[in-house]
Amino acid sequence: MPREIFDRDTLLDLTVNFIPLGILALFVAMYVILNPWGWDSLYSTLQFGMIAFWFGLLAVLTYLSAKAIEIDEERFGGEEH
Amino acid sequence: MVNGQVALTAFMGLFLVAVVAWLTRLESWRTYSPVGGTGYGDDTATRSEKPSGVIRWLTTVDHKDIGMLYGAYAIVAFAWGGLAVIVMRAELTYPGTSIIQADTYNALLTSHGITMLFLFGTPIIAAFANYLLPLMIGADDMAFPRINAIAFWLLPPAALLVWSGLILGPVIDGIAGAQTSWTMYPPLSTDSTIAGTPSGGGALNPGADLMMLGLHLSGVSATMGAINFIATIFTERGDDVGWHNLDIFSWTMLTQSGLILFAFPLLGSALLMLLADRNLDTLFFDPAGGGPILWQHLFWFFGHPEVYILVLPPMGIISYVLPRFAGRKLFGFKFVVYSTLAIGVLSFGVWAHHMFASGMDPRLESAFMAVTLSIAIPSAVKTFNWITTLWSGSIRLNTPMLFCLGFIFNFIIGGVTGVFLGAVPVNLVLHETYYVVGHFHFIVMGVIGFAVFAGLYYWFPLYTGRMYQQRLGKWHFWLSMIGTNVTFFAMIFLGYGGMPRRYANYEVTLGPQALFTDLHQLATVGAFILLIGQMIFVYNFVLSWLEGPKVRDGDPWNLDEHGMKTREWDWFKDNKILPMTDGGENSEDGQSSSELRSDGGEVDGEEASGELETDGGKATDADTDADAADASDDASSE
Repeated sequence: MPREIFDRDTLLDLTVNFIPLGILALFVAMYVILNPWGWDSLYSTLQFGMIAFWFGLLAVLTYLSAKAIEIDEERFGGEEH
Repeated sequence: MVNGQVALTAFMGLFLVAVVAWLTRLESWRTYSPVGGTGYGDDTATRSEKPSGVIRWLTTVDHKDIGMLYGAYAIVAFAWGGLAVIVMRAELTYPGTSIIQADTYNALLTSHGITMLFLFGTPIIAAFANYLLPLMIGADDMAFPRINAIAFWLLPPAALLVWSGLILGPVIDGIAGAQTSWTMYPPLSTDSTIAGTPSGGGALNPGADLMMLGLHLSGVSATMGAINFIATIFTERGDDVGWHNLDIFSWTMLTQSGLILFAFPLLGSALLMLLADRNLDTLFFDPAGGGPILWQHLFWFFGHPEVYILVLPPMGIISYVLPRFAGRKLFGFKFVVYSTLAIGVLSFGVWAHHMFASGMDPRLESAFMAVTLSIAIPSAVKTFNWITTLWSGSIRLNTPMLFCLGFIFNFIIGGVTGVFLGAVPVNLVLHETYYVVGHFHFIVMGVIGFAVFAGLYYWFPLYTGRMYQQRLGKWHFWLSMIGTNVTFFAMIFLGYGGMPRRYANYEVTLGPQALFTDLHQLATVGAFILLIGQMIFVYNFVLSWLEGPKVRDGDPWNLDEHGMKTREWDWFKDNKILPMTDGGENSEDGQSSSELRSDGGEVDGEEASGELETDGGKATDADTDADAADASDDASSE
């Protein structure tokens, strides 16, 4: 069985960033389903692209920082401030 | 012509190659850093005592000295910006023109905004970070000490340039303080005379050009500082400091520095474009060229991250200081770290919420609204973490802690009013009203200002070796708290009433003028309460620095009691306490007779005849009867 990416404690810590990610996903779903302003190739692309870009960037940064912290925790075995 | 350009390009290329070649011939870069000799490079650099007097401060590359310089500079800027707004508030006491003309009001408004954000906010954070960050992460100094000094020394000329219009205006014709507001929206910023009116091709106000150059210079300084902080945190951490136990203040500084790195160069570029529009007849922000909305996009792509550049490190200070007086570790340390990073990333995706009223497509507005509302979550998470840290804690209500609690109170108000503004429909109603002014002042004064004061009081023994007067500290807090809430609540109500912002005169034919007058007067009273509080702060700060009781204990806040002592206090004990005791004065006597105060500190009963009182610290020089009464008050309040 492959090793899990993060242990349970780290995943729990990461919930703090899952929530804004979830909110962004919720807005995207809402805009797709309700589609209040119709589709425009330029503006709709920008609309969803803008949200998706920050969603992706936040997800990547959260992953990288969690990985760095977890690796150092294993390496030092110390306690946080 | 083309051949000339090719020749110029080739010449520049050769020049750059020559510069690189020269740089590679330098014998060792490490000789430029106190960490020289750590395995490579020239190991012959020798340490020597610092020169004395002014020369020391002009030539220092010591991170602590530079931190002090940043701090002194920021306090002067705070006084300038504060006095500017006091004049403005006095003018707004009555609807018509009473004390100053509209052009002077506009110049003071511009100066107040730019000074507080760029000449006070960013430098005071750099002051804390320069002094403390290397101590907290176990570094000998900043990664680039000389760049650190250069970054600071760019700031005094920056301030003189920003203020030059106001300073030179009374003595030189044809120049006045810039009247562009800190946002510098064209066409106002590209085309205004010294009276603030459109020039129509006539003489522009050079004070605005100088202000923009000064602002650019301060941005260069901030960027150099940010590069230094990032390099220091990545490369100079102690052997036992990893990412998992990097202190929360350093995490916020790392995030803030990342934001500066991406935001300030953009401001610099946009400012150069604006200067070119003003002086070289370019059309970057002219309707015939890029258009004025282009400036708004460029400015706010910098401007919104700037909000977090200013607020993240103060949040770090609160996350660091508050647990020391709650007797508990910060609840959810990693929650705070991850939420800091989340704020850092998302802060770049919300800029156009400042432009909802500019007429952009609703699909774009909806995207910016979504990211804006999602950024509220990590901010709220921090608030809950601070509150939870207090829960069942052993709370000591001394001055740094009071400012921490005031910070949380004000942040909730400033934050919640901001969430409303993030929603497009509400924003369209409240845009350009005093509601916005009230909202962001709860953040910049009630949050950033309070965190700065919490830090200044908490580390006062560390950087002065003395303790401040407790009672004056508490007066400062309560006057600041009352003044902040009276002033900025009144502004929020003014905004609900529809009072537009940036008006020097509100003799209006439409709208509830009597209500506006009452609320403006309330705001002015609050501003003067704030002024009195800050005067007390300056008096206490200066007097205690010169004459306050010397701290003779390495743990002046009794942090060890709850296992909360941190690395910078170890440095304090090793470098400021032990050398003093070795130098002759015996502090052990004082310690043996000390008793535990109700707010956690120890006072020396033997020397209770002095004039100064301390804030829960172990001071040995002075104490008063009043202090004993005060201590019992504290006990009853707990």
